[in-house]
Amino acid sequence: MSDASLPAPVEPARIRWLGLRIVLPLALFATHVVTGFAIAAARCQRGLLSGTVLGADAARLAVEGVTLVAIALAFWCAVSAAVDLTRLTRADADVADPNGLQSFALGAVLALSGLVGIYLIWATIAIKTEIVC
Amino acid sequence: MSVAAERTALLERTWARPHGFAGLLTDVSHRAIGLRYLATAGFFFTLAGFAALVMRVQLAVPENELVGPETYNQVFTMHGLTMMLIVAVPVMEGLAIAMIPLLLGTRELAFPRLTAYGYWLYLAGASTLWLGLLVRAAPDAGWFAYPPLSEGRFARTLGVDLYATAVPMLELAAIVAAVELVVSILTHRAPGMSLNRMPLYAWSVLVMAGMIVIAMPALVVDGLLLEADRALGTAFFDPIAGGSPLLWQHLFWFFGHPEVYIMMLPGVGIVAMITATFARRRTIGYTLVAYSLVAIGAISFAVWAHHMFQTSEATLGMGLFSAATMSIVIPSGIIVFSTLATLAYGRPIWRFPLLYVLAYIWVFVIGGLTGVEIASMPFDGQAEDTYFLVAHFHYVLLGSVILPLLAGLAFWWPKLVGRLPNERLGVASFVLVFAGVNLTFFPMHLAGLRGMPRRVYTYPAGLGWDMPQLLATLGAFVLLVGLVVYALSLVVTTPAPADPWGGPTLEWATASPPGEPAFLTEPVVASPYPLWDTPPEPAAVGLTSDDRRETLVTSSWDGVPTQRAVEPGPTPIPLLAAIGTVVVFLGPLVDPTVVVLGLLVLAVALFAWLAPDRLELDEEWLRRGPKDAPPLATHSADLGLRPPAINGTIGLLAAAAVALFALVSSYFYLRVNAPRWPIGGLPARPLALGIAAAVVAAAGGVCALFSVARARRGGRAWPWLVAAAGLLAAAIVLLVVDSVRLDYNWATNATGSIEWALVFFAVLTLAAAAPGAAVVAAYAAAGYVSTARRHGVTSAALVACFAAVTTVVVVLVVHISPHVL
Repeated sequence: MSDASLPAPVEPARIRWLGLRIVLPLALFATHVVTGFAIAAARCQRGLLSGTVLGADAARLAVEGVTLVAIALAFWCAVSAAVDLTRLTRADADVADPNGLQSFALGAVLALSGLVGIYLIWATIAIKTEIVC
Repeated sequence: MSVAAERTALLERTWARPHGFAGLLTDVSHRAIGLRYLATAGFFFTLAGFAALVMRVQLAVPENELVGPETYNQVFTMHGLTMMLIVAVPVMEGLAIAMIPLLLGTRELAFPRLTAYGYWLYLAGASTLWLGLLVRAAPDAGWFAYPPLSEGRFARTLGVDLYATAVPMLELAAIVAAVELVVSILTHRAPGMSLNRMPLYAWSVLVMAGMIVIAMPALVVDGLLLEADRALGTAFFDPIAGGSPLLWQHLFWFFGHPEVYIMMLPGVGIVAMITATFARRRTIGYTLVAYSLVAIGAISFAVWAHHMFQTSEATLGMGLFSAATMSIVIPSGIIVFSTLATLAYGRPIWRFPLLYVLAYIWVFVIGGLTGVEIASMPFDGQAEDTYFLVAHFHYVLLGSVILPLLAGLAFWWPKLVGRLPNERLGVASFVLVFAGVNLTFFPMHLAGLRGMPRRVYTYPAGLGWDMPQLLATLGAFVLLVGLVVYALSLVVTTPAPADPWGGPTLEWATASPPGEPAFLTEPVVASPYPLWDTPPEPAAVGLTSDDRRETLVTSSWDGVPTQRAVEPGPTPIPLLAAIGTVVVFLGPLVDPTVVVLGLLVLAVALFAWLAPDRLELDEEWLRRGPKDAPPLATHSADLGLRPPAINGTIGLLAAAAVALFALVSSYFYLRVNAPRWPIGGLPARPLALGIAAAVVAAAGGVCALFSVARARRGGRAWPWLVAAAGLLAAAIVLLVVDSVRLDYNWATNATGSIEWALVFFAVLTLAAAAPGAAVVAAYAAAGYVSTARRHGVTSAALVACFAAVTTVVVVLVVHISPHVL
């Protein structure tokens, strides 16, 4: 095999915010757990958010709000990755994704977003049913 | 002699390893260091195994008085500590250090001296803990050393001091090895090996090493805070003075739970490699397994509080940790089903490493299922601190760490030592080990469900605990015999051919054992299974020089060759640096002034380590190399390329950033939990000097950035570096003056303790950055910096900026936040 067989620098089709979308689901997961814990701790240790809003416990409502935002972001990640992945599979693979790395990365976004989504739905049950303190 | 033979001889001379006693002290090659890790971990595994047998014999019958409670406490603490910190993590790092370059198709890791430094530090830390046992002063507060039990009032012996100083040393060793592995995997892969073509073992090691960099600094901080409480009278964990024992638990488990996955993930990688090889087919769900490894790594950082379900933390918060913990079953399930599917759809050849994979599936799944049970808070309330937990985590750790390790060592034995393990003995060992593991640990579930607490040195008869404990003890001896037979299978061997198993990955393209260098030419790959898809051919001939130790540097995502790195040869510098580090850590236990000596040795070693080679000023030396070869990594900045050294600096700074994060989080945790802050009516720190220090440090960081800009344009960088060094030094003076003029100190209460700890950390980073900038300035003035060669300036600037940011953060937290929050 000659030097010509060396992989040439790859210049695939540019996919916007790919790096961000890989990190986002994982960041969402960690942020949700830690924020939820911090809100509950602030309520139980410091008495913050101890009132009610429209009859609902303020601390619980705050955690639910964070969860909804997280679900929305995870959903955006998953859908946008699915759209890009579909576009990529329809394009000429040798040009758009010569070594398969783009599909691999988009698949990661899709899988990680899905996993975070499952956690968030599961967490919603905990938020609804657990006592706060 | 033919041209090819001449070239081979030249390469072998270039990469020759030192022999004899000098070789022992100076060898930095990945295979030598990897084997040392494995041998040392094996030795300590044996010691920890004997500690386990002492416990099992003691608990075989009720009301046994073979060992007393004090000795029993030391024995179970040392067993846990050794298995978790001295065996499991180092052995996985050691195996990775030995094997990863072979799997990636490179001749050496990115920073050979760092590998050796990590090993020496590991050896010192492990030996320190065990020497404590010899003088009957081993740690005795459990491997997690919870305060208040581990505080000076209750643990008066030297044991916990050894724990609190040796454990950070071990963690530091693990961190530097992890940085080495991350950078090597991201920059030293064979041409064509894009991330999606990496062997799954490399994926698992990449995730493991990344997790180590993030998780372990928390334990370094935790250990040092504990020692500060014990030796300096600080109050981080003392509730009487406003501290919190739960702070220890948060920091410990922020490290401790990822630690389980740090140990487990390489096992998953090993199993994937063995399964694909012996099933004679590609891993089913390669992509999903890679995603799962990443997912487990990430999730494991947000589940630490499930170890604290029975504490007084908020219930709703704990519910979220419970949900997070349960979500780990999804990627774990994917991994297990991938293994099963690969076996089911392959044509398995049942050699004994594959039998160990079957054992892994059985044992790991049982451990995983009990893990789901105790992730539920109500069940955890029943099982907490009983033998059920002992059974659970032994199933998990044996299933995911020890069994894959036994499989992996046998599988790669041809590459590690050039010998083929004995199949009959291997099969016999599998039967005994599998029976022993289940006989030892399954009955512990029953003992636990019947309420037997863990960590008791004896127990009364007639509570239904006798038979499970007796069975467990019998099982432990079966396991011992199995492990002895396994060891024999690695001793009674035959010479191994290059590819005894018909493996698909690049290590099987090397000789058994691999020569020096392992690859005479860099292979080119186009799939995760290069030997099955496209047998390797001498592809990259001519991309590296034969007459100096060069490796090919490739791009992180796509594996395209971009640079050549010149690797260092044998040197005693890592050993010297490790000696200095050990003296710094252990010195305070003897005489605090000894620390100065340690720092001096460390400074000399680092100076020698980082000094550029005079040859680099020689144009002929720079130009040397084959036609069309990529540029030297140290001289390619003008092409927009980043040398691995910069990645290494970023990796180490990431670990330091986690340490800062741990300290800042500790501050706010103590503050949120204190009825009033500052505790004891202490005055808030005066703003003037703190703000001045932050401004001056920030100016130092800006000067460092200017030095990079100047170097990029070919201008003189050194005046800016001198200015940066001066400003950073001035910030140290301001912070020290600000602290010493206070009329309270670190021992006053928890407010004083955490404020001083933060300020000390800022001073430490400034003290590392200022001389670093000054030394690089000196080299820049001597002509070592150009537009192409400026990684020293960039590294110094990165460290300086980190120190500046740290100072600003510390001032914001310590000085400003009490006034505004």
